[in-house]
Amino acid sequence: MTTRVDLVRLTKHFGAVHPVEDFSLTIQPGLVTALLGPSGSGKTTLLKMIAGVLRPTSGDIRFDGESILDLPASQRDAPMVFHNALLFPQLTAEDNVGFGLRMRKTPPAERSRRVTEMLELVGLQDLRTRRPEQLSGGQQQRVALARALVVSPRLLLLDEPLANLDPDLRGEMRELLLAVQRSLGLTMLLVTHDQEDAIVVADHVALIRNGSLVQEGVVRDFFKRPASAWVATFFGANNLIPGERTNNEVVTPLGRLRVTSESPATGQVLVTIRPEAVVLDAAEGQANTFEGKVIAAEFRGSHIRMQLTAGTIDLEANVPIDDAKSHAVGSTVRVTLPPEKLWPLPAD
Amino acid sequence: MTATKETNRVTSPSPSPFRKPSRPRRLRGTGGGRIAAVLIVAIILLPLVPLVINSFARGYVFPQLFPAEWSIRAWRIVLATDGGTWEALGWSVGVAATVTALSLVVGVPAGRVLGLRSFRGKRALEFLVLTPLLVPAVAVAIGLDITFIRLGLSGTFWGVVLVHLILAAPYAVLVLAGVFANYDPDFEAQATTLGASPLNVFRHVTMPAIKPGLIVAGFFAFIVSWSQYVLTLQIGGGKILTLPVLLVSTANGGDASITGALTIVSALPVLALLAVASRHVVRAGLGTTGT
Repeated sequence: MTTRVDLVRLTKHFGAVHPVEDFSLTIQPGLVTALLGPSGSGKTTLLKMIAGVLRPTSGDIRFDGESILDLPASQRDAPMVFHNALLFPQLTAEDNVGFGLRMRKTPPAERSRRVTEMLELVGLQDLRTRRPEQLSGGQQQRVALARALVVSPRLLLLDEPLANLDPDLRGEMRELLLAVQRSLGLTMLLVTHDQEDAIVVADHVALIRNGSLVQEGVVRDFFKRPASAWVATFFGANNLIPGERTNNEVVTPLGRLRVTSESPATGQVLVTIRPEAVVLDAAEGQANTFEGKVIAAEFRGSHIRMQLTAGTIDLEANVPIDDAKSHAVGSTVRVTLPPEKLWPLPAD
Repeated sequence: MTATKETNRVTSPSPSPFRKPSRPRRLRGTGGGRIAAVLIVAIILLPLVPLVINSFARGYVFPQLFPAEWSIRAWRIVLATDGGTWEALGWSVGVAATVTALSLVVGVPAGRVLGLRSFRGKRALEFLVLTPLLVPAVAVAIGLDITFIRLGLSGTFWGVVLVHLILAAPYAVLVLAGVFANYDPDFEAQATTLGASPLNVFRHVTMPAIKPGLIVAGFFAFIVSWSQYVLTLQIGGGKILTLPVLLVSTANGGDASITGALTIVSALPVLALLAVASRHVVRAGLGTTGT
């Protein structure tokens, strides 16, 4: 039941609107792949094409190497779980879960056994006779998950299944998705706009923007080696310093900055650094050190987010709470950008 | 029981769960609402009272509050097997049922497109759907008569059905457009990806969701057809004698007792239908007026 899915140059046009443009991606069998992107980036359109609800304008979708474009949605074994659960209101929880099996004419005895199994997996065996309106949002979402799992899908498509849940329920649902993944070893495609979801649940992340793939890889890559300034800022690295790179040196408005990372970008670049990598008032004699002024400080629970300015450049720094006391708003601080934490990007 | 209902209200704010969210719940069963309901029922039923009295009266003339003598003469004549009432009832039921069925066949796809899609010229199309209701029926009838004669539809069952559809179908389309405007087609996508064939999607998802709307739309279409006089007379050419046609000619005959009895015969089926449909009228009515 682990299926490899290849999306080959998928394109979808609705008249002049092009929600998906030339999108290629391989979804590895037995792993959770997250399709991450801001709202309106074409994620759901992509998911609906894989499910078979929408037909692509061009391109191909292959399950284990075989094109499934001509297979109707009802025969793809790729159920979707929508963000708003969409439980059939006239059916009880167990009848909702059993819907797919009923459509497949599974004998009642086996149906009942598998429905029970799935309700237990999502922890709702005691609420099986409830109607959707008698279930909370989190419970509805778990019924929707069980309803998709019961048909032994080749591929499970999750469309923002956590988006409508309260923060603590989100955590619970993420745990549940991971547990389900571990026990069933399914291929899953999770669409989300929330990088937290992708970080916690996904083995592999594909970042989508305006219907096109921007970068894919393990989550760590997006933090350490973003492919573009847009990717860097999407993951919270809002510091972008323009400059010109020659070998290990970048000439910037802040002076000459040393870089040691293996980023291939040269010439006109944007040097990025994550706010948590910026060091304030380090010991004397460090490279890439200059004077800056604190213009704002904001308490963020685990750290203080500081807005700094140095000449024409604005920077963000996450400072440990204990260190922050010595850097009042308006004071001058020594700012260090460690060379190994700087990542030059091609300037677009 | 009340406790469960209260919790339902917390978890499910929308009256019909197939609906898209964000529609506010209307007040129901309040004191004012009850009084209004009683008044509406009274307005519908009270006019029938003098008809009932009339139908059992003999020699009932002006200053009398109640007739001096009672009789079942009028009912004997009206219900007689050769009196034409049963034949008229047959025509009326046949025409109205056919018109209702065809209105829904037209109304479901048309209402779906108008309710779910947005496209250029949609408002113009909606207006066009309404135009038959704005033009007086007589004008429509006279205009169509020649065409229908040419097509051989004049004086036939299908001719009358077709001309009734001009007035009945717009009601069905408008009611169903309102229902579909509050309908989330993702339910269908959901069922499809779970393995449901198009037929099963309609049976298990679309049908249950639009059922109240279908009942209301069908009810409207039925009433429009049932009460149609001018178009039936003009196109039916005196061959399709439905209850209203018979009723008008009877009323012109001047026997108030027979007219009263026949009116009751005409009104009862509709009242019975209304009693069955009223529960759904309230539910779907919330949907259509909410936009």
